[in-house]
Formats: sequence, structure tokens, C-alpha cells
Amino acid sequence: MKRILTIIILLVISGPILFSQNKEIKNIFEKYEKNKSVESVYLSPFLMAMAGKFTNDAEGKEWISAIEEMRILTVEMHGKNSGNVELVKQIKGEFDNLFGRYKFERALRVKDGDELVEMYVLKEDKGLILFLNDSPDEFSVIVMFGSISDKILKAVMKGGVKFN
Amino acid sequence: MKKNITKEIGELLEKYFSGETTLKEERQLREYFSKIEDDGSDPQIRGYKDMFGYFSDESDKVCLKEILLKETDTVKAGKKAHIIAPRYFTWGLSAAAILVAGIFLFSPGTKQTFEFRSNGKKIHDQTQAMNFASEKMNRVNKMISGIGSNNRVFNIITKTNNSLAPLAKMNKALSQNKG
Repeated sequence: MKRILTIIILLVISGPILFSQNKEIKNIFEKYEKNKSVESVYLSPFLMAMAGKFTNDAEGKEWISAIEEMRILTVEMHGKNSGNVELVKQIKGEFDNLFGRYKFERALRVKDGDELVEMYVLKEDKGLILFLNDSPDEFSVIVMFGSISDKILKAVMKGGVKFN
Repeated sequence: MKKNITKEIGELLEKYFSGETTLKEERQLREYFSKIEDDGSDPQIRGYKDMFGYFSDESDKVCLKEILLKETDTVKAGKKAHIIAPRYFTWGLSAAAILVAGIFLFSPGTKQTFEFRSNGKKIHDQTQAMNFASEKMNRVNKMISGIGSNNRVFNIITKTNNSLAPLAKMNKALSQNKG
């Protein structure tokens, strides 16, 4: 009985530790989303499920069903927003720090001209796919939280992540 | 004060020693011999007095013992109940604490269905939020799906490093599955 109670208590305590990288990412988003130079969007599990109903594409439906939550953060860098370079540097630094501390895999790095897209994956039941899109006119971070399987990765790699 | 054993008491005594007396009759004997005067003239009286006095004590003791035993059982039962109850109570309290902790820790909080912010302000427009998300994703999709069709980038990679053969296989697989 004591053993069972100990296990239960350890599970309760370890739960937050296991999912802490997800929590840290959300904290970064929450830290910067209120910044005036930042545009951000949070799509809840409910809205993701609704989006799935309106997707005609079978592959699209599949990835949407696996993704529980989506967060996007964008910093404009062109014109009057060219002064946001420091802000972008700060956000990049936060994520680099995160990648170093947790078991993220850099699955993809695509550079086309001045635009760079990097894809990081945490392939778990409570995993995530993270995109860093860096271009002269804007910097975006896109995170999809959910059950990340090979099938989902395949859909993502084919550019199948769409809402319509 | 009586000094002699009466005939009636004598008969009761005979019944008593035969084990045939009722409780009422035994009580009668006890009361009789507790009141009878013992001046030493009749040794039987002293004997019976002592006997019924002893039995009276014993019966009181027995009664008391029975009461005590009953009380002890009740107390024990009560204690047992208390022993059990605290154990279950502790378990219940632990389970409740774990449940509350779990809800608190794993609760998704009171986040809305969507949240869209621009220039630090909340925009309560779901369509705009979805369009924003779609636009950003399409930008990434364009870059990623360009791996297969953008031979310029891909060819540069394969020329510089032959160990990227698995990448070629992956690209082939993706190109084949493109509908």
C-alpha cells in the first residue's frame, strides 16, 4: 500500500517535469505575445477540432486530429519594424536555450535565398513540432503540440499542414 | 432480625444446591442471608451468609465484569472503528490531495478557444486568427514542399556530400506520394 501511494505521489510530482518543455515554450509565448511588436495567435484544442471538420484534405484531417494546440508568434522586421532585430535575437536565444536543454531533434533546415526554415521535433505522445521561419521581413515561431508520430511528420514534411 | 433459617428458605436452599432455583429465588436467598443475624449460634447461618455474601459479591463482580467486558468490547470496537476510520480517512485525504494536485497541475487553465494579439492588443476575431495562422503555415509549407521541387537547393546538397543519400531516398518517397 505504501508502495502504491509512493508511486502515485511520484507520478503527480514527475508529471510536471515530464511535460515541462511544453510548459516552457508556452511561457516564452506568453512572455512575448503582449509585446507591441509581436503578433501572436493561440488556437485551442477545440478550435483545432473545428478546423478539422472544415478540412477536405484527408491528410490535413489526420494531422489536425493529432494536433491539440497551435501557437504562432511573429515579429515584423521590415520598414518601421526594422528595429525589432534585438527582440528577434532575444526570442531566438530563448528557443536556442530550450533546444539545448531538452531532447529536441532538428528534423529539417531549408534555406532559400535569405529565408530560412528550421523544424524541430519532440516525437512523443505529448510532443511538438516547432518551426522557426527567419526572413528579412519577418521572424515566426510556429509550434504545434500534440501526438507526434511518423505519419504526422510525413504530412508536415510534404507541406500538408493546412487549414483549408 | 431473623436468627433462624426458615422452612421456606430451607426448601429454597435444597433447590439451590440442586441447581433448580430461579434467579428470583437466588436473589431471595441472598437478601435473606444478608439480613439474617449471625450470633454464632448456628454455624450453618454463618456458612450460608458467607456463601451468599461471597456469591453476591461475585455476582456483582461478575455483573461488573460483564459490564466492563461489554464496555471493553465496545471501546475496543470503537477503537477498532477509530483505527480503521483514520486509516481510510488518511487514504481518502491522500487521494483527495492527489486529485486536487493533479487537477491544479494538469488543468489547462481557463484559456479561451483562441487568442489573437496584434500590437499588444487582443483581437476578438476568430476568422482573422485562423487566416493569420494559415498564412504563416503556408509560408512554411512553401519552403518545405520546395525541397522536392526546388532542385536547385537539393542538388547543391547532394553534390557536396554523398552521405546525404538517405535524404535523396526520402525526397523520392515524398515525390511519389504527392497527389
